[in-house]
Amino acid sequence: MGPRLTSLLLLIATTALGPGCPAAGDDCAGMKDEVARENCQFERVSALFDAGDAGWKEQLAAIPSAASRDLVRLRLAVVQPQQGPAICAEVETESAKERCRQVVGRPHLASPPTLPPQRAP
Amino acid sequence: MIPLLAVLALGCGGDAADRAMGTVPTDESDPLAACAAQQFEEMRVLCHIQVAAEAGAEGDLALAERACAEVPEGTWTHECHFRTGEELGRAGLPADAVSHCARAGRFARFCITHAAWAMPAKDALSALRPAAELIPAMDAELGAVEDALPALETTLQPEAMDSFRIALWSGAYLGTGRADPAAALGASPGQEPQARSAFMMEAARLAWPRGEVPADAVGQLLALWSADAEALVGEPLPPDQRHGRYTVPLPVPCERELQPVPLYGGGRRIMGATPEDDLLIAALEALFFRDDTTAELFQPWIEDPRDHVRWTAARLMRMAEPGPIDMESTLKGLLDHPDECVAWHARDGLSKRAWARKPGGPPR
Repeated sequence: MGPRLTSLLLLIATTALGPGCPAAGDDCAGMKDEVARENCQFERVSALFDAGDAGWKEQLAAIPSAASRDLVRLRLAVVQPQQGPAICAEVETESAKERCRQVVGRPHLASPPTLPPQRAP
Repeated sequence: MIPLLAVLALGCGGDAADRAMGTVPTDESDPLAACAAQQFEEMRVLCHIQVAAEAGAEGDLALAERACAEVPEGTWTHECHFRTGEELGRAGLPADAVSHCARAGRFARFCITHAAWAMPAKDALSALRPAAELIPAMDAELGAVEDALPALETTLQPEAMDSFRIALWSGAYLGTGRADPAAALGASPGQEPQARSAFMMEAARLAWPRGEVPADAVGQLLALWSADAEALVGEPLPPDQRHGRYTVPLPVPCERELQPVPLYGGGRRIMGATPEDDLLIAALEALFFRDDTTAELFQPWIEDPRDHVRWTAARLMRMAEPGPIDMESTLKGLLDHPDECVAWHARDGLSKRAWARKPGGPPR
């Protein structure tokens, strides 16, 4: 058994037997509870995003499931509606695109909250 | 091996995410319970807003209230009331819409505008009905809106009332295929400017075929404003085709202290100092809404003795496509006009060159 095949079988075993996913350096993936796992992934990305750390995109990309990545994006868009259009532009799944309409279809949400009310068009 | 890996990869999380992003089952008997079952706070927010909006569209006030009450205070609570307000407007419940718009925070003004213009045409509020029926029905609808206004921020109240007045009066006339001034002539105090504008817009639409607006169009429209005049009758126009030309609000110095009258389609006009002046201004604005009215039609009114008529004409002329006149030299000729407001329009017009930016232009 060559070293490549051994690694592959180890990967399969990890995936099939445990809750972990092949995301190097991300211990969220090791969580059994899927809600806790999604929350963990969100918090990791969110912390970097809030700190203005460009690494948030890398952290997001390390999440193995497209649905999970999109859930993080949607949650970020709700927490930071001013960034919503940019965040939603990156979603990958159809269900996330549908949900994002509640954010990107509402341009006023992206306006700074400190501005006085806008005069009607 | 590759298919096996693909199958295993599918098990790498995302099920909870998939469920969280699925469509909200609002047709369930208890959609709020469906939202409560959402495992992520942010998705619960979106769920409650969707439930509130759909409840607004159905006129289910109690459910909309309960849904918005579940959204944590802040931007999304405001958004919840905004979505509900605009849907209540679309459902033909303007007073209830105002109640929600009042809680839409910094979005309140947008909410009012959306709710007012989303209102459907109602048979009871159509100028096709006898004036004796339309006028009390209009008073009742606007009275209900007025009763709801105190919930709104004080500074927003006059503008909100005007938005509903023009939306309802426009709905009464525009596109109906009949311009009979009887109802507008009998409009109750406070509604006259909007009633005049709505009548004039339908009259201007019906009076001449496209490309055939005559030089004395203003006089012809004014002649229709009489209890004895025969109603203009023509083809109705479906709501999705009721488009026209309007100008973005301009920061005209002499108009700064004047309360503008919102117009159909998003424009605004100033009011005349007398009912007669106001009717004339309504006619000029209605002609501008027709995009085949050329700048020349407005030009003579720039020398009118009445301030508000002159200012309106100067604004509309510089924004309209010119026919035979050379707009640049016409505006240069107005730079030294004794009326500072007309001169301002000439200066601003020359710097913005709105007439030169429009491709095509009206039929010659």
